[in-house]
Parts: sequence; structure tokens; C-alpha cells
Amino acid sequence: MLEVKDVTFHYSREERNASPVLQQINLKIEPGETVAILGQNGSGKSTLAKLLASILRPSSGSILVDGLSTTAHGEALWTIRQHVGIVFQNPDDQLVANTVIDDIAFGPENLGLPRPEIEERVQEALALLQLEAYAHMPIQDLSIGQKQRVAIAGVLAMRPRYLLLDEPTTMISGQTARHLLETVHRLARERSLAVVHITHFMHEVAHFQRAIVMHQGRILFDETPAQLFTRIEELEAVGLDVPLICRLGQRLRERGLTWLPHTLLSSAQLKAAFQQHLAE
Amino acid sequence: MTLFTLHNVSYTYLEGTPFATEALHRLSLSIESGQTTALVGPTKAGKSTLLDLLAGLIQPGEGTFLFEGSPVTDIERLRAKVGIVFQSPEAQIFEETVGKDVSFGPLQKNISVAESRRLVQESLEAVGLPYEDFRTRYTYALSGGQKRRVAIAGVLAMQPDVLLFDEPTAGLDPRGRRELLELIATLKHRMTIIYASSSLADVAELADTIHILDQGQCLFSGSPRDILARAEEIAALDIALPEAAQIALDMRSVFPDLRTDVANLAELEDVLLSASIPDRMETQP
Repeated sequence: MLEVKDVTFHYSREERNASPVLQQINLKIEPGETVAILGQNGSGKSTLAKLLASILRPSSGSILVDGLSTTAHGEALWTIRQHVGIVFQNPDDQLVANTVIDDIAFGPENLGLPRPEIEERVQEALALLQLEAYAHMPIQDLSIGQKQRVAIAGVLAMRPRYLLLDEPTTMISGQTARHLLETVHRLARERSLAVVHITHFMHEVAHFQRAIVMHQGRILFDETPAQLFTRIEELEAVGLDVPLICRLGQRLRERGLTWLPHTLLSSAQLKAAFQQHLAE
Repeated sequence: MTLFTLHNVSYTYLEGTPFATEALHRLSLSIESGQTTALVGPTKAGKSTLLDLLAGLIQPGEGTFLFEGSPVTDIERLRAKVGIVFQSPEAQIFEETVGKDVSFGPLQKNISVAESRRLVQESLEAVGLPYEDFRTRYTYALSGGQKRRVAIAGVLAMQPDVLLFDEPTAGLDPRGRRELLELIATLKHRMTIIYASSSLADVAELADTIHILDQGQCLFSGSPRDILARAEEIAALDIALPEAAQIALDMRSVFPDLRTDVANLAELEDVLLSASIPDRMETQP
């Protein structure tokens, strides 16, 4: 379990008097859970991800990864960094090798694993992200969406328990983003990998079990997407939009389609509702 | 008037080396002045290369490239008229303060300090940043959205007639995105705008004409409504649709003839209502 207890964070001592980037954050994430974190630019989302990945340390409070504190040193810190993988917004920030296969092998090689085990992990990561055909391609010849998949494969080759995705879909196009999220949901189901996905895009949130909204360094809401998407005005007040599908459902009910369900999270649900109504 | 004409233009990076990649392949299109034109395509469609060509940063390998009706013999004349806001424009800010950054361009042009000050003031105000409040602010301490505005002001201070944008809303939150699109919508009344994006969501309301690009070629062009009507082809190209058009396209599995050229929520409601209540078919948008 990832446990965040009373965490406050300032970037520098000089900022001590200004309001902290994160204030009094409390959070628990279970293995296999899928969580989307939403918020405006500057709301503290990425800082929280860096704290969870033990790239940053809390100014006060504590973060435990399966019981180990992220302020640990030595062996415990290596364990945490193996168990918590992070994928940044721009894949170019974390790809280090010349070819796809070398990049994915980089992490396991640095764990000092025996050769057959490295190969097994690399092949598995290639297969999970459907990158087999690109294994020997130079990284520079890939599109951003392909690079993003390589970055995720490299993290998965470390066999993490928690996968943090910091706005991974900002730089890639619609279909590619959808495939990427389908893949991480599959991994969450099949290997009880916990996924924490940071995004501005409301339409990506519907398939997550939990949606957390951050505002000015605090957690404003922590509930299911269905609950969250009923808060049209409150979300607008913090600079976020609800997906158009939610408003559409509301408007169509007002205009006479009273048989539509009260919360619609996806086109699939709208389709199902229409099909059921037409069949009756 | 036609501002740019491209006929069978090709451009290859690292030509003649084993790393040669063709970014534009016999591309033909024309762009009118005074209009807002969108260049939309998936990654690697050639959008950024095309913008570099229009900004006079690269020259075509093959084909005809006309600026205001004639071949470009004086690249400086083109560069003086065309400003470009690169992708992640916050990266093109390099000075310590907002005032210094925006005045960098004008001061290279041999104009008086007073004139440069006037241009900086006008440009900052055009992007919604009050001059007195922002001129002495440190650029590193600005928010992402503010940095983008400062970078745009820096380009406006060069007084271009044509402004090119490369994915200007990438990475902004919904409010930042909406505010930037509103800013561009005000700029379109005073200059020619050319806007590259991998999504139709930003440009369906903004653009007069949309060119759909893929693999260095222009596949088809039209008004936003013409383009949205072809939502199925657009989605197959891995180009994101505006939410309303995407929902309409998804709903075609229930209503095969559903119109996808819906510009907003109200129009989407109308097409779904008329599809679900057959006797109201006449109330089309």
C-alpha cells in the first residue's frame, strides 16, 4: 500500500512563508487500484507524484511504500524506487539508450540481474506494450506515442507494484492515448499493478476506480468518477471541465429523454441506454 | 489574396545520409491572407516542418513555394512578415524579466527605445498581461500559461502580419487552454493565423479553413463543418475530434446516419433528439 500521512511540501526554504506546494495531504492507495489525479497547472499534482516516487522528500509528514518510508536511505530506498515506477510527461526526459531494447533493458541491467532474467523481463515488457516489431529500432526514429510506450515498458521491466503516470497523454494524439490507457488498465487488472494517472483530461477519468481533484496544494475531492462528475459547478470553479457526455445526458433528460440514466460517463453508456430504449 | 501557395513541395531531413527522412511529400495547398487556417494531422504528418517552411526557416527541397504570389528571393522580407510561436513556446523565453524578453526582438531592429517600449506595452496588453504589472516580473516565476503569453507577446512585438502557432495549447489545463484560444480568437481579427494541431478540438470553432495532413501530404481541405462531416476518416487518421463530434461518431453504431458535423453541445442534442424521435426529423441543425 502507498500511504501518504499529513504531508506538507515546500520547494525551498525561502518559500517557507509563502503557502506550501502541498498541504496536509492524506491518501492511501491499495495494490491494483486505479486512481486518476486531476487539477489545474500548479495545483500540486506533479509534486505529489515526485514525492510518491521518492524523487522529493516531504517537508513534514511521511510517505510509506509497503511500510518503507521514502525518507529512508540505502537498501530501503532502492527497494522503494524499484516498487514505484514513474513515467514523465515527455518521454525524451527518461529514455537513455539508442535502441528500444537497450532502453528497456537499462533498468533490469542496473539491478544486476542475471542475463536470462533480464531477457525475460525485456521480452515481457515489449509484449505488454506491443513493441516487439520496434525492438531494434533507434529511439530517435519513433513517434512520441511510441516513445511513451517505450518509457512505460522500461518502467514495467523493473516489475513495479505502483505505476505513476505524470500527464503521459499530453503530447500524444487521441487514439494513441486511448490505447495507452487501455494497456495500463489491463495491467492493473492482470497483475494488480496500482496505477496513478495524472491528467487534465476529464474524459480519461471515467474508467478509473477513483478520481482525486487537487486544488492549491490540497485534496478537494476523492471519490468515484460517477460521484465527481455530478459536481459540474464545483469543478468549473477550480478550472476543470466535466466531460461533455455528462452535460449531454443532463440536457437530453431535460429535453424529454427522461429514460436516460442520471449519470453518463462514456459514449458506451449512452449507446447502451439508447439501444435498451429502442428495444423496449 | 493568396498568401502562400505550395505545389508538389517535398522536404527531406538529413538528405543524402542513411538517416534521411522525408517530412513533406509532394504537398500542395494554398493559404489565404486574413483568414485563420488550421493544419491538422497526427504526429509526423509534417505540420512542424510545414510551419518552418512558412516561417522561412527552411527552404523546400523540391516543388514550388510562392509567398504573396512570387517565389521567395528575399527570405528576410518573408521573415519580417511572418512570426512563429513554437511548440512549448515557454522554451523560447531567455531573458530575466518579461520587459527585457519582449523587447529583445524590437531592439534588434534599430528603432528608438521609446518606440520599442511602445511595442512592448502594446504586445503585452494584446496578450492580456498589463504592462506596468508584468514588465519587471521575473520570467522564471510566471505560470505556464503566462509564459506562453509572454512568448506570444515577444513575437507580436516584431509586428508580423502572419502568426504561426505550433500546438499552442499542449500541456495547458482546461482553463489555460480556453483562455489561450480566446486570445487567439481576438488576434485573428487583426492578422492572418496559421494554427497546427494534432486535434480538431482546438480549431473546429477557430478556423475558417482546415487542411488535413498525413505523412507529408494534404489529404483534403474544407470548412470546419465539411471536415467534421468526415469524422470517420478523421478518427481513422488518429486525429482527435471535438468531444461533440466524437460522441456523434460513437452513436453511429445505434443511428448509422447520424450527422457528425456538430459544432457544440446544442447541435449534438438536436441531432440525437431528432434521431431518437423519428417524427422530429425536420429539426436538423
